[in-house]
Amino acid sequence: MKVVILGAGRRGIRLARHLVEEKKDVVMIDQRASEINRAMTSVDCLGVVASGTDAEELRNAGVSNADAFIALSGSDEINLVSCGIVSAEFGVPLTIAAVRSLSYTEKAKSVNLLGISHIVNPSQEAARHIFGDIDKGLYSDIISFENSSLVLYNIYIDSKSKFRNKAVRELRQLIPGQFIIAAVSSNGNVFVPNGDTVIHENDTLSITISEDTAEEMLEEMGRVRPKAEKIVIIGATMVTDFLLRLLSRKRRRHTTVIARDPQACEELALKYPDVLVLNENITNEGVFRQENLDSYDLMISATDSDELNIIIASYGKHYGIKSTMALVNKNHDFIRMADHLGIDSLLSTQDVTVDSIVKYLQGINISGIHSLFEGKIEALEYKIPSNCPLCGKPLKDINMKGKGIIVGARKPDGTSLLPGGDYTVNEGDSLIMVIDRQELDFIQQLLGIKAF
Amino acid sequence: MHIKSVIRLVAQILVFVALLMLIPALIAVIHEEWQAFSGFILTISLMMVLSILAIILTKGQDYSQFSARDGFLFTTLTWILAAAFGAIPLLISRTFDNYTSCYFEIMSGFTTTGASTLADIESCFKSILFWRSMTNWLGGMGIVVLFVAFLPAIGASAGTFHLIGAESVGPVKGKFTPKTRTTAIWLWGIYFGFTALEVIFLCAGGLDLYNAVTVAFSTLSAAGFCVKNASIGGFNSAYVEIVVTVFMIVSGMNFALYYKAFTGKLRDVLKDTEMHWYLFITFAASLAGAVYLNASGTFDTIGLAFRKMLFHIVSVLTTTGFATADYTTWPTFPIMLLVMVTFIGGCAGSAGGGIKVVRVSVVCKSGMNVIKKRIHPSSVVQLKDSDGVVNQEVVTSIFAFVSVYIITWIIGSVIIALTGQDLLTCLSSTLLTLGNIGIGFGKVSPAGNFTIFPLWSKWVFSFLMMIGRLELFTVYVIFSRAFWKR
Repeated sequence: MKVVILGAGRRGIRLARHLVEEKKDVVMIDQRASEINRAMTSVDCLGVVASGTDAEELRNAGVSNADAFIALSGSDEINLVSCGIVSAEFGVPLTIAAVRSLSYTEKAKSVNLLGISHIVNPSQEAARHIFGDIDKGLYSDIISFENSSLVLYNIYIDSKSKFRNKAVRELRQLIPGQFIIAAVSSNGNVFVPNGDTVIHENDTLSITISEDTAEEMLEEMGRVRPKAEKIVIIGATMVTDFLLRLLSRKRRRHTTVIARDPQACEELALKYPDVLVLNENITNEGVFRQENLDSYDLMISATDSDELNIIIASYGKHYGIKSTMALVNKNHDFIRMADHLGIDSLLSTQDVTVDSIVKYLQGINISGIHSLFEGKIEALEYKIPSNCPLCGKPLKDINMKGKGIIVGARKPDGTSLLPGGDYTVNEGDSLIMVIDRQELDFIQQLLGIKAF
Repeated sequence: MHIKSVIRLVAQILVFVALLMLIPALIAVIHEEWQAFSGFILTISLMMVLSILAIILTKGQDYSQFSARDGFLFTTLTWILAAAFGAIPLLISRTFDNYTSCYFEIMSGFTTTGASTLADIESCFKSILFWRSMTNWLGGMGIVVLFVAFLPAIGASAGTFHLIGAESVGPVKGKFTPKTRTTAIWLWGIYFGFTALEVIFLCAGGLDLYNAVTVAFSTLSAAGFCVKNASIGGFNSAYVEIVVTVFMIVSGMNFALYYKAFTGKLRDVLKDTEMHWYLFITFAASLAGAVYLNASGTFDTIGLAFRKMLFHIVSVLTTTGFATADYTTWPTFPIMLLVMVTFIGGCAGSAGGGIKVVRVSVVCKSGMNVIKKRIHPSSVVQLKDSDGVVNQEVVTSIFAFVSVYIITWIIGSVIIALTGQDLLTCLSSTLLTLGNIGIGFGKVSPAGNFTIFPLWSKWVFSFLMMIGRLELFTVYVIFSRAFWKR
């Protein structure tokens, strides 16, 4: 399986690393020799210095026999043109372009633009992700699944935790309510537990619970879940625009946007009359007091400047806003550094873009994919097609060989459940699975998926 | 620095080398050389015990954090220890009565130098001679590369690239497939294929399997150990001479070109400027020497003169070091041509040693550019090769390499002069070990050998051979303060 990535920037390298871990052959193309050098020393891939819009150079780089071509350069135009060349000239079956200035809806996806199979818009992906977080709750370490009431939480085991020094089997009887432990991170080792696994102090658990019982479960475990009514968004960027589009009208009425650029403010005010748009510079101390920002439940800092987003979100939290969220566009490393500033959630545009591409590559039936514990473990949602070899089998008869665990299921009628051993897999069900990334091959085989 | 990971990986590689040593042990059984057999078995056991102990003690180390720095340390340690253990069978089988000579001989093997301190080769155990030739073959494409190809111990981590980079030769460390491991498999596959092909050709010429395999081992690795006292001349066959010449030329070329040819990119191969330089130097020098040798009456026919001249030019240029005649008895002009190619070496990415053709060509082209710049001070000059413009950083590193190479040679010669040998022998012996050539001029010509040197100097030569094979900087960085401090 050969994948060519155009653009060896941070985003390209992140995607390449991910694909190499899935044992794919990766070729990176960039015009800058220094970027290619960096890519080759940090990922086990082949780097070629070439232009993305020169058919001859692309051929020499080996694009003609690639299975997929992904254009992630900084320029929309280059991404579109190169994907066009690659699909017309070499007939590469799968082409993906990252394009900022093109929004798409579910319908527009099927429109054949230059023969490109899939277009990702980083701003739109970020907006969707933020929306998902607002919708489900405000933990940085929560993962929600599309159209499902199940959520995946990370909980840390401290010295007071009820989970401490108990085997997974004992916990089942001890804690009321249903839950499944999907993964355990212990001293840097991440694994999928079985009934005999004992939980120790300082471990971090990933558990799935149903949303309906989440509140009481979390109280049991010592966490209370805040609700976001009043939202303030900093910056009138494309992410802001996409996010406002996703929010319901009722929600928009409780939403405030604060941005510095008067023209962008006017446009937003015109488009979303329910939203309160303030043309102000957020770095003025007066704004926080004047607008009573401490009365808000959630602040989303989504300007074009990563540094500003982090500073504002951190300050906002100290000022008294219940939860704050910061968007990181360019420098993904800020996430690690900003982890200690009290910001509730840091969202990387790069991460969500890469996640979205990977999800697309891994098969159309996989509708949600999320990384856990720095990407060592992956949670994915898979819709069972009619020809799936698992159809009609009860869960206890499916041998996962300890390489993964099924932590949730959703029936076609929309009800979600935490499946037990007697649950039978049916066509149309969506399974939520947590697996070791290295074992992706095995899971694909188990499910009978041919990856792209 | 991740010392524990480095130790663990070195231990794993030594297990691998120990297993490979079972092959000469088997040869010892076939020829009923029990003294040599016990040498191999004792060494294998010792390596196994020490390595497994090290592996157990460093349990739980992973290689995901492996950096370029770890790669340098790992590669150097691997070579030092592989030679150290590889030398033990020679001592136990009484091939030499001191460990120093054993170490010199095996380091000369692994580094594909082919310089020998054995006075009478033919009287040695056959299995020991086989092991000697086998070290040539293992060192030619690189022990680490072989390890990466066949043991997926370090998986897909980017660290693998640093390992291959520290061992491969040439100014730009590259790979030609997306996965480092695939590149390593291809390299060894091509290498193995050519070796097998040469064995077939040699067997067809009447050599027995043992001779054919040992000669092929030392040809493809551009190394030069031979089981005969008179080297390839000992077979007394024009056919063998021609076959060996052809395969020496093969070993001196960039192996990435063979990959390209196999995958149908013949046009790219034919455009390769380094190959043009390499073939031009080979044939131009041979032809000039042949005409002179014929005219001066050393050889009666131009054909014979060309065959002899080509063989030795290729032997020295690719840094193999085989011989079919003692060229020191020839007139000075052909000898001078051989001295000239001593300074060039094989191509980047080949099994050969020396400075490398590509570096020499860049140095020459830079000189031409300076001349052009003098005539047209405002002219825009770019240094190009078949892959396009050569990056200024690469040019600088090439000049640094050539300078350090020459400085190392001179300082080495000064130290070797303490042995009391004559000027030519001192200069030549240092250069032939640093360039991994194996034959030189003066008392280290094909007729001579390293038995004339005192024991202490053999450690100096061993060091020179190792830094020459690992292209100086891989080893030198370890001796820098900054390497250990920051």
